[in-house]
Parts: sequence; structure tokens; C-alpha cells
Amino acid sequence: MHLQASPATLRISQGTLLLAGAVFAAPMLVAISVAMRGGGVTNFVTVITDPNMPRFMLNSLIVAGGTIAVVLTSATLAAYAFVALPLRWAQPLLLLLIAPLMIPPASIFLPIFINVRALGLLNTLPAVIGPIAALTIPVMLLLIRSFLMGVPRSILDAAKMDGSNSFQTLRFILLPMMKPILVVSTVWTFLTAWNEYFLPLVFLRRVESQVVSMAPKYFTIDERTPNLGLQFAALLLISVPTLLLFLYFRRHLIRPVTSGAVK
Amino acid sequence: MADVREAPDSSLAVGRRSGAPGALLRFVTGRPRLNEAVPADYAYLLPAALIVCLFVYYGIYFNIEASLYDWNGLTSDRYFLGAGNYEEIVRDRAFRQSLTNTLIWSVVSVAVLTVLGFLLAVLMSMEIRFKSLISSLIMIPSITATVVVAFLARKIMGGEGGEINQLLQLVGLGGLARAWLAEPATALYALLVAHIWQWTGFSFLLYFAALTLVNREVVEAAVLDGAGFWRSSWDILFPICRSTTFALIILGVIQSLKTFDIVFLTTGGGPGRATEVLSTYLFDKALLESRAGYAAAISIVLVVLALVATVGFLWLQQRKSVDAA
Repeated sequence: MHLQASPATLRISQGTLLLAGAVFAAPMLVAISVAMRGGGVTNFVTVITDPNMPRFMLNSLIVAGGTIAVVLTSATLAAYAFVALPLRWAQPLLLLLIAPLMIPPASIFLPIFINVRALGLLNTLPAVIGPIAALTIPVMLLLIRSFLMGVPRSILDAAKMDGSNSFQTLRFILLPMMKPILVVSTVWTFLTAWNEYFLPLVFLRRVESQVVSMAPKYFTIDERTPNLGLQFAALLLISVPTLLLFLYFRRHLIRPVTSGAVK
Repeated sequence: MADVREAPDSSLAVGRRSGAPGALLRFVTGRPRLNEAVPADYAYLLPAALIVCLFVYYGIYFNIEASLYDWNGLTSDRYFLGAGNYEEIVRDRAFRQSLTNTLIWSVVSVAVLTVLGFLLAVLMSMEIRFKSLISSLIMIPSITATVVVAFLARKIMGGEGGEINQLLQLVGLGGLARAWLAEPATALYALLVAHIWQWTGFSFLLYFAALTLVNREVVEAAVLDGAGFWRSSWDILFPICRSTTFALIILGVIQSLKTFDIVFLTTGGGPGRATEVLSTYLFDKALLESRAGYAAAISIVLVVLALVATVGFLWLQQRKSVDAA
């Protein structure tokens, strides 16, 4: 939809938006200029060639990959059951699974921390994959469920008539149709896991086990005289994957919001 | 005829057989279904349920129990206090300060994010040039890690060499320059500015998506009616986006209760307790002061607040939509 407006209003709006774009972009430009301080492009080279940097990247990739696998599998299975199967207690069960949406990570870290320590799992990546997955499943369950509710009932009934059992229906009929929503869920879950700071802060304390969100601290060296150039080079480098994902999937990320926001 | 006569009879019979508990059961589970679920159908819920129960519900149970004790979280000896920790919360000034800060945070961030997001979305719904460039610039902070936002805030709002202060000096307002994050009067609001910079793109996206679905004739009719452009935007478009606004309010309040990274990475809750929020206060108590029992009690208060806020807004939304209908 295009809103109609007088030429004067249009000019004011165009100006306001250009200004807004500049204001939102300005801090990023500051970040780039600070990252060049004291060494220019060599700052980026220093950060990338630091022996621990590939470690951080790899650890973050494992955390993101693990979270994506756990979240997408469990959320898809559950969403399918809620939409297609005649569950009793469907409403309360759904509430139970989506209520964690509102739980602040800080309010459950203590029991997880104490048990993770007791099990000797501190400084291991599963210690952060578990809680990140638990807090992400509710959102993805809602997202995938609302997608599946849009699938015509007749498709499910036809599959049943053909004699496929409930899992075959999911695997061979629905899954191929779900590609768009699975792409969106994967990107969102990746961003959540990659950007997570609190849980790695608590559970991953050794340098070898740390992830990208810890990298800027690592390049701080000394709190009183931080090496701002290296720090900001690290900040920008860890943002590159998220930025590329955003630019590549921009349209896909907006569409499900369009279908869900008005309901 | 036969059907009509039989229907009330059979329903009565069901009612008599199962009595009040049966009615309650039907109410909770929804309408009885034609084909009943087999146990295997529930297996689909198992992975999600296991993970959520293990990390969230077990965690809440653990905290409820731990909150009744004086316990350091490290050793096995602990002393039963009953409601002692909760009584301490009521008297705890630092807790009250964190609660107030959290409330300020949620009110200011929700208000500014909704208004700003809506305005930008309305402007973007016109025939504007550089649409995708500008919307990308606005949205990029929302997909950026909070670590990045926090380090940027520290740099830009810093006292010496901070870009905000340089800008103020440039336009002759050097007298206003200050260490924005280090002064109690400005620290919380400076962090809010950073937070709003980060999340405007998200509320903009939601409103923009909602506006793309608005029926064009509705707006044109209003404009023809003589309502000015801005007036019609506010009087017609804002109410149409009501469900988006409610979603943003609920998400914003929940997000405020979750606020941790930006505070922890910039001011650490200081100066004094000027920027302390519930999550950072809880973190201090649990890990720095080793007061696990007390931290558990704060966790429970935090969960209850989140629950009350969510249920409250859902109730309000339900009532509003009934009023509108």
C-alpha cells in the first residue's frame, strides 16, 4: 500500500527519513573509523590472525549449529502435533510450551549453573546450547505452528486417505512445503545463538571454550588502556556473518511477520 | 425431527454420567474430537517438552526451593529461613532501586519504540525514494549483537573524546558535554538511548508489515473526508495497527525484564546503583556475593512479574477487542 500525500508532506517525509537513516547509520560509521585507529586495516588482520579468533568463531558456529538442530527438530515436531493431531489438553500443553517466552535468562541461570558445575560441564558448549535452545523453542514453535495452520486441511486428510501414518505425512508431505518457514527459523535461531552474551558469560570461562560475543573483551587487554582499534575491529568482524545473513534473507525475514502481525 | 429430539437427551445423559468434573474437563480440553489421539501422537511433543521442562520448569522449581534457605550456592550446608529472603526483598533498598529502574526502562523504551516505529513505518509507506536502503539502515542495529551496541555506547557517550560531546562542542553547546554514562542523572537514560537505537528497527518492521496489509480505500476515504494526512494517520492507521501495538507492548515489557547485557557491559549497574536493573542485581547477588538463596528469591519475583505483566496485557487486549467489536 502507498499512502497518498501532498507534495509538501512527501518532501518533509523524505527529508525526515534520510535524516533517520543517517542517525541510525552514524554509530556504525564511528565503529568503522575507531576500528582503523592505530593501525588501519592491519587491525583487522591482527584480530583475524590471532590464534584464538578462529577458536571463538568455530565455537560460536558449533553453538549456533547445535541450537538450530535442537530447536528446529523439537519445534517442528511439536508444532505439527498441535496443528494436525487430535491431542487432548492441546491448549494447556501449548501454553506450557510457550510460557518460557517470557522467562528472563537471568532468572533460571542459577539452577542450571549449579547443576552444570556438578556434572562437570562448565566450559563445554552443550552447557550453553541447552538453555539457549530451551528459551528459543517457544518462539519457533509459535512461528512454525502459525505457518502450519495455513496449510489446507484437505492436504492432511488426503495423506491420511492414502494410508500414510502421522510421521510419513510430516516427513513426505509437509516438510517439503515448509522450506520458507524453516529458512526463517534457521536464520532467527542463528542470530539468537550467535549474539547471545549472558549464557556464555556464565558457563564458558576458559579462553579455549569462549565464543565470538566474548571476543571484544579478549582484545581489551587492559581495562584502563583498552586497545580501541583492535576491540572495534573484533566487534565489526563478529558482526559480518549476521550482516550477510540479514542482507541475503531480508525479504524472507519480513514476509512471515507480514502474515503474523495482523492476526 | 428425530435428531432434534434426541440431541438434548444425549447431551443430558453425558452430563449426568460425567457430572461437573466432566464438564470442567471438556472446558479445559476444548471440544471433544471425532478421532481420539493415540499415545504416539504425544511423542511429538516429547523433545520440546523435555528440554523446556529440564531447563525452565525444573529451574523455577529449584529456585522456589532454594529461595527458602540461606545458602551460598557452593557448599551443601544451608539454613532454612522460610519467607526470610522474601521479607528481605521487601526491605532491600537496592532491590527497590533496581525495580524502579526496570520500570522506568520498560515504560520509556516501550513508549518511544512504539511511537518511533509507527512514525517511521507511516513515512516509509509513502512514495519514498531509497526505501530499501533507509529501512536496512534502520533495521541493521536490531540484528547486531548487544555486545557491539554496548561497546559503541561506551565509546560514543564517553566523557573524553566521546562523539556526542564532540558534536555538542561543534554546535557551540560544549557546556552540555558530560560523561553521560558516569553521571547518575544521565546514565540510565543514556543507556535507554542506546537500547532504542538498537530496537527501533524491530518495531518499525512490525508496523511496516502491518501497514502493507491495510486496505488502501480506508485511508483514501478518510483523506477525502477532509482529515489531513497526519490526522488520518493517527486517527485511522494507529488504531488499525492495534494488535501490533499490543504485541510490541508485551514483548517490550518482557524484554525490559530480561535487560542484562547492555547494562552489564557498560556501567555494570553504576554509578552507584543508578542503572542497576533486576537481572544485573540478581547476577551480583548470585555470583559476586554468593547469596544463592537470596538470588533465587529475586528470580522468583522476576518470574512472577513477567507472568503478571503478560497475563495482564493479554487480559487487557481481550477486553479491548471485545469493546471494539
